Parts: sequence; C-alpha cells; structure tokens
Amino acid sequence: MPKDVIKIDKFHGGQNNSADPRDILSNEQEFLQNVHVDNIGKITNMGASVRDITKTEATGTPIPGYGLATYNSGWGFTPVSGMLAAHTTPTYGTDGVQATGIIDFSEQPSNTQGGNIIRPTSVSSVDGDATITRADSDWNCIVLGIFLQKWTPTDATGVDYTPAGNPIPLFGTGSSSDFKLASESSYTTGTLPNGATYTGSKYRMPWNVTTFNAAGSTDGTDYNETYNQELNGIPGTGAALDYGRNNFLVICDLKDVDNFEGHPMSYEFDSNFSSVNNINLVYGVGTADNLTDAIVAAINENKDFSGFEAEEVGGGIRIFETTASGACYTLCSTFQRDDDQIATIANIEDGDNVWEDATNGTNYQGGIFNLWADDSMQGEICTDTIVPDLVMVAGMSGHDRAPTDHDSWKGALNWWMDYFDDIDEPTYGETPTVATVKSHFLGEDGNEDTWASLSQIGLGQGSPKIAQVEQVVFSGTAAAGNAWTIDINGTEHLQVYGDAGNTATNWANHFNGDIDGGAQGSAVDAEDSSGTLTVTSTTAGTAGNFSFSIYPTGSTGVTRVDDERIAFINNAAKLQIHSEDIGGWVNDTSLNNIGWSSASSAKPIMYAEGGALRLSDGTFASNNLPKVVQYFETGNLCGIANDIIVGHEIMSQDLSWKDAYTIDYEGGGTATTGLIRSANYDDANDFNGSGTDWMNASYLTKNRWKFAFEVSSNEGDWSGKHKFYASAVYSDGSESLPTHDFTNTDTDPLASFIDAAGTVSTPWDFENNSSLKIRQLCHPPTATETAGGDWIFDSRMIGIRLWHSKEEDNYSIYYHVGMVHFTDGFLNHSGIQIYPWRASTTESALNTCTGTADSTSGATDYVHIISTDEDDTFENRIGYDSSSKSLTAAYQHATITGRRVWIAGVKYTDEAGANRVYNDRMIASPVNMFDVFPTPYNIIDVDTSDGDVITGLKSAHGRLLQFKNKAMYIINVADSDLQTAFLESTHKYRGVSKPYHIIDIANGIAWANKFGVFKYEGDDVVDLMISSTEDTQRLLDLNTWQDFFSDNAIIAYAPLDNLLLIKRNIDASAETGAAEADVYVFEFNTGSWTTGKERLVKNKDCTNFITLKDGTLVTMVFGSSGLDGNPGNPS
Amino acid sequence: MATSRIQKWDSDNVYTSNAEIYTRMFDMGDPHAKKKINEFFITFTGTTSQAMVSLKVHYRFHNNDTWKLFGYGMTAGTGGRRLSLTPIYNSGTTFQMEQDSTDNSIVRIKDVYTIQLKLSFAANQKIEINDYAIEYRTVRSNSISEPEI
Repeated sequence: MPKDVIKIDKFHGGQNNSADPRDILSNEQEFLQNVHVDNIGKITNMGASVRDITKTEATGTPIPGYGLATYNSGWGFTPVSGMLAAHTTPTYGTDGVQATGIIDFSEQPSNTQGGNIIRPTSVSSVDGDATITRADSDWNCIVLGIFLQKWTPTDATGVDYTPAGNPIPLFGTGSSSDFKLASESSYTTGTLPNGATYTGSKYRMPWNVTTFNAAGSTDGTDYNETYNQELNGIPGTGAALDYGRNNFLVICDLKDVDNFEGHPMSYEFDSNFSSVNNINLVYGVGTADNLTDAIVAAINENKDFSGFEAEEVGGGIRIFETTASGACYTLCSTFQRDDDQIATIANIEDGDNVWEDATNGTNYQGGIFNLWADDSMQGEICTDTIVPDLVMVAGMSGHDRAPTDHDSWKGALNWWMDYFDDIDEPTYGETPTVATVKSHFLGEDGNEDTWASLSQIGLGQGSPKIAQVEQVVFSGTAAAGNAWTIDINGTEHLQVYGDAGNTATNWANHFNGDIDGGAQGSAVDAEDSSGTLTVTSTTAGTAGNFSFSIYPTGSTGVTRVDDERIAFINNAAKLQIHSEDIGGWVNDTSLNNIGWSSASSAKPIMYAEGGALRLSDGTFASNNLPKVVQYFETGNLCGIANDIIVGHEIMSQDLSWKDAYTIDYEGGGTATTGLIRSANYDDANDFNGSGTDWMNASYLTKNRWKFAFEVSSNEGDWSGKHKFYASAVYSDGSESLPTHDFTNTDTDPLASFIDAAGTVSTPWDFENNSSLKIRQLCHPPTATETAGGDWIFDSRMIGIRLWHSKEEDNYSIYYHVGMVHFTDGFLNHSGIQIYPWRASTTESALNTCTGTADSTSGATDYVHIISTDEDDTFENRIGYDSSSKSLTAAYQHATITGRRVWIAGVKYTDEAGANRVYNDRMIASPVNMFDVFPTPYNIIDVDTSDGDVITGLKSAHGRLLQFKNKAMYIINVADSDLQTAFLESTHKYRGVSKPYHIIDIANGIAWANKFGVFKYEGDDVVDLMISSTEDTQRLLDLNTWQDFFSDNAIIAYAPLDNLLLIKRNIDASAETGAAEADVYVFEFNTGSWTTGKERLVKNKDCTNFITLKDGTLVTMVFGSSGLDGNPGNPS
Repeated sequence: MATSRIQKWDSDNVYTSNAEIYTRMFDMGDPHAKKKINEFFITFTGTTSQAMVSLKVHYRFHNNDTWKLFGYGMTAGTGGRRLSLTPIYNSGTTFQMEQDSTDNSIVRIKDVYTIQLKLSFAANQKIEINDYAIEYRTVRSNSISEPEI
C-alpha cells in the first residue's frame, strides 16, 4: 500500500474528553492545555494573568471572591485650580524574574558530528577518523557538573553587578543519598572506568579543578573543598558544604552495556545502569527513564539546598530559581570564583565586543543574560550574544580547551571541540581563539543575531530586584483651599495652603521633609528637585514595596472628567478608590473608613449609578450599614456666596428623613437644629423682627429652619382642614417619605425654644375657598462653617418638599405643595421658581426664599399658593407608596435593570419595627431612585417555598436572573412595572452556590455550577458543555469537571478575547502547588473548550473579577509567594 | 505592610512550558487494518522571527496506555516552520519498532491499528499550530485482523 497522510488542520472543536477519543470529531482533541482554539485552523498558546503595572498597589489584603467593583464618575479628583500634582510611578518594585534558562540537549547545529553537551564529542578526536564514527561504547562514564554563579547588583539601579558568594552546585549537596557521587568514602568497590582515581578513600575526578581554592579544602584535596551557603540572603555565611565530591553527577554504565549514543533523550537507564550500592550514579529513577528525566530529578532533589529547580521542556531542561531573588546567575566555570582575577561581570567579555553597545562596568543588567529579550520572556530572543559559559561537561579523559584568556569557556566548549580534532576540518589542530569560536557559533554570515538560535545552551537569567519609585510633579501656585495628602503605607502627610510657600518647589520640598521625617521615613527615601518629589523604597524588590497615593483634601472643586474608578474593599473594611484621573489610589481616611466590623469575613456587594458607589455587607454583621460614596459640588446654599458643599463623602445609604432634620418634638430629644414643628403663622409678629420673634438670629440660631403656614382669606380653592409635611429631596431624584409633620400651634418664640413638648397638632382649617401663604426663614451656616461640616442636611439632599393632606381623605393622601430648593429658592409644583433666595434685610444671618422682602406687616414675605393640585400626589410624583414603613435595607446581591435597583437577600426593618433577614426575598427600588427600597410594597417574593436562599442576582434582556443553590428563576421585568413582573421560567440545577460563580458576558450572563457552565442571552438557558454542532454531545466529562469545580472556584469573562475563564480556587492556600490558577476556558468565538494550567492568579488569593472600560479583565490579588509576570509562572 | 495589586488577563503573556494536546485516536479510516507510522509533521507559525517552540511528541495505541516517546524537535521563526519527526527507537517496545534495513536511523512504528498522539510543547512567544499530520502506510493483508481492544 502506498504511503498516506492524515492531516488535521481544524481545531475549533476544542476539547472533548467526554466521548471516546476514537469517536470525537476531527476538529476536536481529547485534551487541550495552555492553548487557545479561538480561531479556525489555529492552535495558539494561552495567555495568562499578569500584574497590571499601570496601577499602583493598594493597602491591605483582599477578601477572596469579593470586594472589587468599577464605576465611572463625571468628576475627577484633580483640583480645578491652585496647586496641582501629577503622579506617576516610573518604576514598579519587582522581584524581577526568576532566573531561568533552557539547556537544550538536542543536537547542536554547529556540531555536525551529532555530539551534544552530554555526549562528549572528544570521543571522536585525534585519531583523525574521517568518518567520525568512533565507538561511543568506549565511554562508560560522563561527569556532569552544573554550577551557578550568583551576581547581585552593586546598587539599586541594577546596572552593575558583582559576584555574590561561591558557585552554587545544582547536584548533590543535599542529605539525600539518591544522587551522591563517586567520592563518598563508603564507596570502596574499586576504580571507576576511564581514569578516575581513588585517593584517600575517595574518587578524584580528573577534570580540571585546579582553580578550586585549596585553602578551602577540608582534606587537602581539590575535589573536596567547601563553600558556605547563603544564609538570610547573605552569601557565604551559611553552612559549609562540599564542592567537589558530591556536586557532580556521574553517569555510569558500570556493566559496559549501554552506549551514550544518539540523542540523550533516548538514553534510557535500565538495569544496566545500576550500581552496586546505589550511590554516585544516575540510574533509573524507579523505572527506566531518559537522561533528561534523571538530570531533572537530580536537580530537584537538591532544590532545597541550591534554590534551583528544573523541568523538562521539549527536548531540553529548564532550570529556574525556586524563588526569584533578583540576582543574575551565570552557569559556572572557574572564572567566576571569588578568588578569580575577574571581579565584575563587566569583565566577562571585556574587549571582545561580544556584547554589543556595552561598555566596561555598565549596561550589564540581568536582562542581558536573558535568553529572552524582556522580563516576560515574550520579547524577541535576546540579540545580545550569550556567553556559552554554561555547563562543565567533562569526559573522563578530559579535553577541556578554551581560547587564551577565556578559561571561562572551558568545558562549555567541549561539545563542539571536535572541529579542532577533526582532521577534515580546516581548524584541525589549531588552538581555539575567540574568532574561531565565534565563527562556529555565528555561522558563515557572522550575524550575531543567530547566536542564540545556534546556542541553545545560552544563559537564562532573571531580572534584578527593582525598588519602587513614585514621582509627583507639582505645578501651579497654591491658593486658599488647596490641600494635598500623600499616603504612604497608611501614614498620611498633609500639606495645606499656608504650610509652606506657594510654589511647586515649596510644596515638593515640604513633602520631602515631612516624608523623610515621618513614620515611613525608614521605608522610603524622599527627594525633591524643582517641584518634583521622588519617593523611592529603601528596599529593592517587592519586600520593599509600599502603597502610595496622593489626593486632594482641600476645599476646591475638582475637574469634570469621565473618571474611571476601581473600588476595592480590603479585609479591614477599608475602601480605596483608584482614579484614572489622578492615576492612583485615593486612600483618604475621611473616605475609606466604611465602619464595618468583622471585616475579614465581610462579603461586600457593590453597585454604582450616577457616579455614586453603593456598598453593602452581605453578612449583615451588626452595624455594617450600607454606604454610598459620592462627590458633591453644590451651588450657593440659601443664596449665600461661596456657601457650598464640595468634596467626596462616604455616608449612609439610607435616604429616610432623618431625626436630625427635625428639632425635637418630644421632650426626650436633644436636637436643637432642623425644621421646627411649631409652624403656625398667627400674625406678622412672628416674622417682623420685633420683640422675640423668629427674625432674630439669637432665636433662630444656626441650622434652625422655620416654616409657617397661614390660612389666607384671599380667594383660592383651599377648603376644609389640612395638615402639612416635609420630605427630603435628593439630587438623583430620590425622595424620602414625608416624615416631618408640621405642628399647628401658636407659640411665641423664645430664646430657649426647642419645641413644644407634647404639643398636639391641630389641622389648619381653610374653611372654604381660601388660599395658603407660606413663609420660610432659616439660619444657614456661613461658607466657612459649611466648609467645616456644619451643614446639617445630607450632602445628597437638594431641598425640602412640602406636602399637605386633607381631612376628607382622612389625611392619608399627600398632595404636593412646593419645594424649597437649597440653591434655587422656592419652586412650585411644576418646578418653576417662584422666589429665589434672598438674605434678610432685617437680620443678616437669616435667609429666606419666600416673598420679595422682609415685612413688618406680613405683606411681602410669603409664597402664595392659590390652588391645590389633586393629581400631584406623593405616589404619582415620587413613585412609591407613601405608607411604606422603611426605605432602607442591607443586601447580599444587587443588579440594575429598568432604571431600578433590585436587591436580594435583604435585611430591613419590617412593619413590626424589627430588623429581620429575608435571604430569599427581593426589594425593587422605585424608578430612578437607586438608594430607596420601600417596604413592604416593593417586596418581590418569587418562590419562598423551596427552602432555598438567593445566592446571586443578575439582569439581562429585561429579565432578572435570580439564582438559588438548586435552581435559577427568570423573572420578566421588561416593562419596569412591579405589578406586571412575572416569573417566566424556572430552571432546576441551574443555580449557583456563590455570587462569584456568575459573570456578565457580552450579550447576557454566564454562570457555573457542579452541573456545568451555562449562559443566558435572552432566549434559552444554554449548557456550554453541550456541543451546538450537528452532532449534539457533551464536550467535557462531568466527573472531571466536578473534581475541578467547588465553591471556591470563580468565573471571569475577558471581553477582549471573548472567552470565559473558570479558575479553580480563589484561595491559594487551599490548593497544592499552584493548582488554584488552573482554568477551564470557553472560547465564545468557536464555542469550544480548552484548559489552562497555572494561568490565572498563581500563588495568590483574589477578589471577584471586573472588566474595565477598555475591556481589560482584572482582579485584585494578594499573596506572599509567587511573582508577577514571571515567565512560565504567570501569577 | 500588606499591599494588594491588580492583575489582568493578558492574552500576550503566553510563555508556556507545559502546553499539551491529546489528539483524537486515529484509525486512519480502517480500525481493522494494520499500519506503519512513518513520520509526524507539524507546522508552526511564530509571531516574530524569534518565536521558539520546543516540541515533544508521545503516542499510545489505546486509551489507557502509558505514553511512549515518539520524537521531539525545536524550531523558531515566523511563517510555516515545519517540524518532521520520525519515531525514536524504543528498546522497550521493540516488538513494534521497525528499523530500516539500509539505514538503522530510520524507524517506524508497526502493527498499529489505532494511535493517539500527545503533543507537549514549550513556547516563549505567541505561536500558532497550523496543522499536524501523520504519515503512515496501511499494511496489505489478505485477511482482516481483529483490532486490539
């Protein structure tokens, strides 16, 4: 039969490990790991998480699965004028990248004889055999030593390096006997083959070790020298260990049966490689293994001592630091010994111009040694020449040669040395020179760019530790109201206008001194120059990283920008907001203390609308009240110039009328500010400024508000008996219940007046065809006092709305009268300004928005309401039932659809006045009121008989998706009318156990549970593990999935790649190794599955995932181990 | 002091040392016919000239067999980098290894009814696998053999 080829060039079916691998489709694979199949005809390697270096570190530790949200504000944090500060982070503190390198044992292109670094090519040497097919069986022993020389930067810049300590052997320093070598004293069976000598009860290896420091020898032999390990980061101060006798891996074929022939990958160590006492030798690790496995095992056996590990990659071995130290490492030969004449790394190739663009002593950063060109190993292979000073490989007869003055290349060059030993080669018999070495490495074209490709044994190196640097450039001229705070590790440094001079230089210098002299002065070093403040960690690497934020804390307004915010609540209940506008975290203590207890176990839920962030603790811990964070910048309050509220605030979410807005009616109260209940207007003396009336700043003291309602005989349509009320009106259109009821009493004001305790209010009797005159007077705080926080009303509040009720309705219906807008004056029921604010001409501290002028007769100081509007009721205008008992609730879940907030799993004060938790109940806000949750009338119960709790709530396509543990309910709320909302469908076994098992996707919602992964895009619930192709079938094996998925798994959606990620665990400590970072990936582009190993947040706990406006998927992480962006170790 | 930081999903952070693909189990259209497996081909495309792939291929004949080494290779560069791997002689499975009589370096896997491949690779930059192929020869036989179960 002729040869045939079966070709596979379509892969978009993804992974199918459910069906028999014989029966899966041709475009499917049984298993996919660390690859994407999101395009037809391509398999690409998978992305991974990496630190977002555009954002500085935040303070504290995350709550796994919770605590991260994003929202936008129309306000930034940058002041509009005065002293400005631009913050950047020129350098992020990193531990660098784990030093790593791949030693490829594949046949080297430059070695035409098929030699490799394991197979000493010297076997085909001087006899001049033209065929170069010398019998490898003559060689029964290979000695392999891999040593690493540590180099550390001489300063924080990471430019210059110097050797640190003695070379570190990768083999055999441990206590385990598995890989000890031939010199163990207990080994007395005779001589090793091919020339090893037995001296002093030990076997001496015959390679060139003459440069070892005899002075360090413990027994006078050069193979038994000692060195001191690193201790506490200090090289040479640890325990003494031997170099010589057990630091080389000896690969022996004692029975002289197997040959070191062919590719080392095919060296299999079977029983022929056993030794009589299982020491000294590489032999099968349990069962027959190839040589690379044995070397990897030997290195890993020693990892606790060397600090280096190995893994097999393709045909090579990747050696890497267990923990990135930030140091550089070269793989050893003798020149790197600290007793060597060459003292700095700059001299390694000094004068040879092998490294381009380098000058002595400079530019030799760790990256120069990278096999890859950048820290992430994603850039191009380093075009700087790699010094092949890598592995000392010695055949037992030893043929180390190197160019003069380049002993560093000794050993490493063994593997191509046959060029000089091959009589057919033009270089036969020559002494190697740099030129000849380069000619062989670089090829005929001499292009040094090809060096790396040719030399797969090139040095792999990490990048050094870098100290974090923060920089602030001040500009402008300080003015009154300017203040900036710099927060370093929670220590605040405040500078306000007047603390120093007004120039940028003054401010930078002042901060410099304050920081250096402050509590973090030993952790950071501040400098300033020409208005630029630079703060640098005193410790390089992540150990020295510090949180840094700078934010304005003055009273000036901020810029109007579209500011993307990231809100992060850590496990100490500290809220931090990352502002795109100022390029950092706002860590203002007046803003970030949300006052929650038991914060480490809190389950924060956040939502935002209108630039305001809302947050609630889903655990309902005592006093953990829902909060709102918002920026305010009002107009002139009560018409007073510059009397404004400016700034960001955190406050209770509760929009109910607060007791503090009402001067105590009952005698037990203590409030002396607010609206006065005694509100009858009996005669003009109440306002005419004579005697003891209210037109007196001593009686109407600061923050007292007087409203008076006069039944006027002027013709109108007011008839019968009425009562009057007030509600709080908020900037977003929300409104409280008309809780404040005015009292109809005729009480002469007294200086000590609080309110008439126990006074019984009687209705205002308008009899027939009367009208209403309203007089208002208040004593607002001055601009300075308001800036100091004296304004008594909620900053969200924009006015007081007045209502009346009628006897004929049994006072049960509230009709709109008008509104006192804090900045716009008195507005009628249509919102039209009747009177603006004016200062009293009688008493300068008092202001009013009724009438045109003070009046001793009551003729010009009122708003005249002629008629009532029977249709303008509270329900019609505000949109919720005026008989609601409560407007606020804590919640576990929230979503916005139809301009309502829907909260679920709630705690609120019920009709009986008790705080109760209803974990299977929802409450809908009125339309456009995102902080108001009226109960009991806006309660939505779907199915309270299932004994289950609500575990998640999302909305899409006019539907609510209410998740419980066992089921998911779809509730149609498309027309936004609570009365017409209906349960559209119920989906058993489609619930979730945690809210972070649900995520928004491009056109709907996706979620995961033990039964699979699902999506809802407005039609049916789709099981993503079921193929949608013509052959409907399950793609993922459920048993395997259920081993993977747990309550601690978390789901994320990356819109830029249109893929869904399900990460194994949010808690790094709960998994062995780095399995917490394993992922299942659903590719929406192709409707297929793949998996990832250690791709998403490795070695760290993480919050929930969010998506930024540019489509970037992010999470907040914390962990004491693991590195960010580490090649091969994405974290 | 404890600090937290933001991590993002980066589709360009693609370094991997442990990518794996288990193919389907191939019967080449006839599960009852013996085949000889001559060679494995794979085509890569690197995003840059320095993109490097180090590949190792294993095979097995049945679902739960242990994997055996087929071959390995490394390539770098952009545009249709092709690796062709011939089976490595495996002394542990000599009964299914066939060496060319004229050149012992050429090895085939014989007596194959079905075969599944595992592709393991390391890559430093974004690469694409565009296709892979198995070159085989169906052994002529006058009788139909029962496939191994």
